[in-house]
Amino acid sequence: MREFQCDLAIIGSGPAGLACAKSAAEHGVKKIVILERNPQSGGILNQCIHNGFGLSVYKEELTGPEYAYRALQLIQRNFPFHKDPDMVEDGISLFTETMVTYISKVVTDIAKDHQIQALSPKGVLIIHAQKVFLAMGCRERTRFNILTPGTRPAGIFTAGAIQKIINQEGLMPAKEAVIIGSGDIGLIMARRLTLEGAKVKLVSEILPYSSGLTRNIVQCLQDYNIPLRYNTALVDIIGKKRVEAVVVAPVDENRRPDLSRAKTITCDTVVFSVGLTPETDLTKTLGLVIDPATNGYQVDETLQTSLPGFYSGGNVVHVHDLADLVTMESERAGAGLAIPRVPRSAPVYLTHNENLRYIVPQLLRYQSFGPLVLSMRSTRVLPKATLTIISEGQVILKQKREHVTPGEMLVVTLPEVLAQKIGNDLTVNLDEETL
Amino acid sequence: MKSSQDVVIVGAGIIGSSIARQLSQYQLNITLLDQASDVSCGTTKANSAIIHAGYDAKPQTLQAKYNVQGSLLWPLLAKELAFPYRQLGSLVLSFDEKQDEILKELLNRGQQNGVSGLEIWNQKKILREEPALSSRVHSALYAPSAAIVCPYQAAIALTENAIHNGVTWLPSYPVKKISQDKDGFVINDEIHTRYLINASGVNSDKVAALIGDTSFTISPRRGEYLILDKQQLVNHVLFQTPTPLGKGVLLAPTVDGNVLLGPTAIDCKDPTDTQVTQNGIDLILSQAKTILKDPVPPVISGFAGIRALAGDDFIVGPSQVHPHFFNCAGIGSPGLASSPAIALAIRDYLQEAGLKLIEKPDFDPCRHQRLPIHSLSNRNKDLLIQENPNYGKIVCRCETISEQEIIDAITAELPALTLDGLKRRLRVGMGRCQGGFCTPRLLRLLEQYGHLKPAQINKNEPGSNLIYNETKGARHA
Repeated sequence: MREFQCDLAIIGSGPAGLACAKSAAEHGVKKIVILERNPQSGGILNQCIHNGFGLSVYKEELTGPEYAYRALQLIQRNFPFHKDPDMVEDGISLFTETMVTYISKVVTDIAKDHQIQALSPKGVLIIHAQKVFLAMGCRERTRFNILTPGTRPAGIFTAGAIQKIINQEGLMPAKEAVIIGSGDIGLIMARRLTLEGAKVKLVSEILPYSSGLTRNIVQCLQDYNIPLRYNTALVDIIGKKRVEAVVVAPVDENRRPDLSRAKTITCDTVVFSVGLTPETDLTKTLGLVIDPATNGYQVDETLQTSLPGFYSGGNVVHVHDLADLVTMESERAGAGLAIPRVPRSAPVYLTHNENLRYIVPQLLRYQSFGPLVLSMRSTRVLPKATLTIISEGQVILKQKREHVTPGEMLVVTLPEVLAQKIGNDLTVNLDEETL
Repeated sequence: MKSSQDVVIVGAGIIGSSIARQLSQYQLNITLLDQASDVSCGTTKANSAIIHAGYDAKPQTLQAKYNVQGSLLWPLLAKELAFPYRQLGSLVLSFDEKQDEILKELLNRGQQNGVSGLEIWNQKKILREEPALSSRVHSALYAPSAAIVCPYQAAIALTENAIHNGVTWLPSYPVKKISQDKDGFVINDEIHTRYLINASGVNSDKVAALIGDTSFTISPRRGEYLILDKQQLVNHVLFQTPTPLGKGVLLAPTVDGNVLLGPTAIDCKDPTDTQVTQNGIDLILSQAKTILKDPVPPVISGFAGIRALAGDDFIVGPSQVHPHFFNCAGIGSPGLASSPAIALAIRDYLQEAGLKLIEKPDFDPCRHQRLPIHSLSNRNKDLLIQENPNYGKIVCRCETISEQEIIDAITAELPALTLDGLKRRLRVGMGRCQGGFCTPRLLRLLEQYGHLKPAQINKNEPGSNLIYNETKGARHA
């Protein structure tokens, strides 16, 4: 059994974990340990071989594996870096094939020593950490999460699983596919399956709009003549051994399918791209507060969760649509956990109107310190909208936004001069602008 | 002719595997065969997983007799064969005075059937023991001997132990023809046997008809289920008060810590019709809603199983057509609970029919199974990983299953060579991600250790392959 001490333990080495490690090291955190369950760092980026990554962070267009490599390189070049070391020294130590199985918090007031247990081919690993950054990412919602009826033959995949099988294993599991849901991975996989010689017969979306990025609808569907049907539900899966067909039907405004207009589409593969959900299960016993709107951890402006010493960033806080945004958020966390701040007398819980689904951070715990970044999603499509940030009745910021959709995260940065104006409450409203 | 056997058991569900294991203690040549490539592929893999206490069956029926006897045999079986069994007790819930009366009838019936420990609980006691229940609950019948098991793990354990004690396992062997000669039967013109046991579930009428026994017909009835993520929601197996329409939807913890909701009861023509319907989903969720105080937690999976019914009672015993052909048919609920008692009954029938039962001196009743790595102490985890580092490589993150445990299952004497076979043995892909993360790795492990090409790897039966070929890039690499 190996047992090590460190200042910061990071769980997961996807874009969130790597960005936090870099930023924390830049801000003076000495001993950093990253625990990664896969044989290499990068997380899900490794299976995302399409381009479109890095436009904000690296100012060039990269693939997922390239983006992951850059993030690791930045760490390796700038700080002492140790891969699978025999002991933990100053710098950043990356432990691969290391699966965290349990995290406990310390009960005494004297030591802030959080204990992390992990399994690896070298045995049990126990890490004692002053601070913990949770970067486990998210998982896909599945066929039964959305209560899809039908049989259970071979040929039913989530978009991420089929992406991994094709891109990382080099295996082809489909001839004729129907994609359920128009999330980004589903759109990307529609194109990928087409390029590999499969016929994508339909992308079926139950909502009147796509939850994916506009650029993906253009580049992945329209460029390949793949039909996308909105307001359409999957109502049955047919097939005993392998999928033989799916049945889809148009839905009314309450999302109830009209079975009299149902249509059977023959196919051997159904790909579910019906949303992602933060993978917070590891900390269940710690009782961290989960925001029901994001299903991720509730965090403050330093990305600290409800449990002191536990920070988080990336898709385990809220599902992002771009890896670049994950990197930027987690860099803020690295700074947030390293720099001491002056607490407010009472935390400010952010509120919003019905056109917004959530805002991260959910609360402000500290007095103003640099610019404040707010990430949020709308509940519906708004062709023209006004975003208003109000504190104690005073409008702090008013911005016009065009083509606001739930599929694209809204990010607002309040410069420090404006962030200082925040009093004892903070409300963000998104209002439709009528022409 | 392939071989000559004393006993051939057709069907490796919970009944066939129980009989095989029961008979494996005697000096006999026994073959257990199944049309499927693995054990436990029919009704056994998809049912309520409950060892009923025995108050529900009508007195004087085989169901009542075998249920009460069988439920008492499970604790020892679970201990010897190292499969999970938890005696949680069950509650039949009543929500009004009319149902209270039915509970009293059930109590009487249970006492007639010889079920011990039955009690009627009042609302206060119920809500203290089951705080997640709706306060609309009125009273309940408590049966302490009710338990939960994992039926497919039990069938796998029974078969493994039977094989360990000399039984021959013959997978992928459909019985198409049974001819008779002076001292027994010949199956498919290949296997001779003196005694034949028909435990073929939904196909048992068709197998019986092969010797001209048309005394019963199987009516398939589909039961649909939903599974919730791991959580402590309820502490007992919870039934609704039975109505003339059926037993209603139950809510029960599983031995793995999930929560099972179901079943529906839909008569269907096709004995392989295991679809989950929208109506089924709606019915299960609406009934669960009436039992629970809070909204039903998120569903992670669903499935359906077929109960093979033949009239109102089990059929267990010699066929009218041939005294050495034994039927175990129409084994609907409480078939799982009854299976150890049915195995004993078949042993006695065989003896009465002239089969000499001489005990093997070296019979080993125990299955020597390594505990799952996630259940070990840190020290023991470490020791195991030092011995073989693959025990430290976690493949299934939701259920914490290591690569070596998967390799062990693929290379076992009763091997798992399909994705569903691995699922049933290890739970890989059965957690909240439903295989999204681990399936690619499982394909590679089946390829490497099961010596299968990717396109030959099936979900379950032949034709259920996941992969067709390599991608363009991989082909040119």
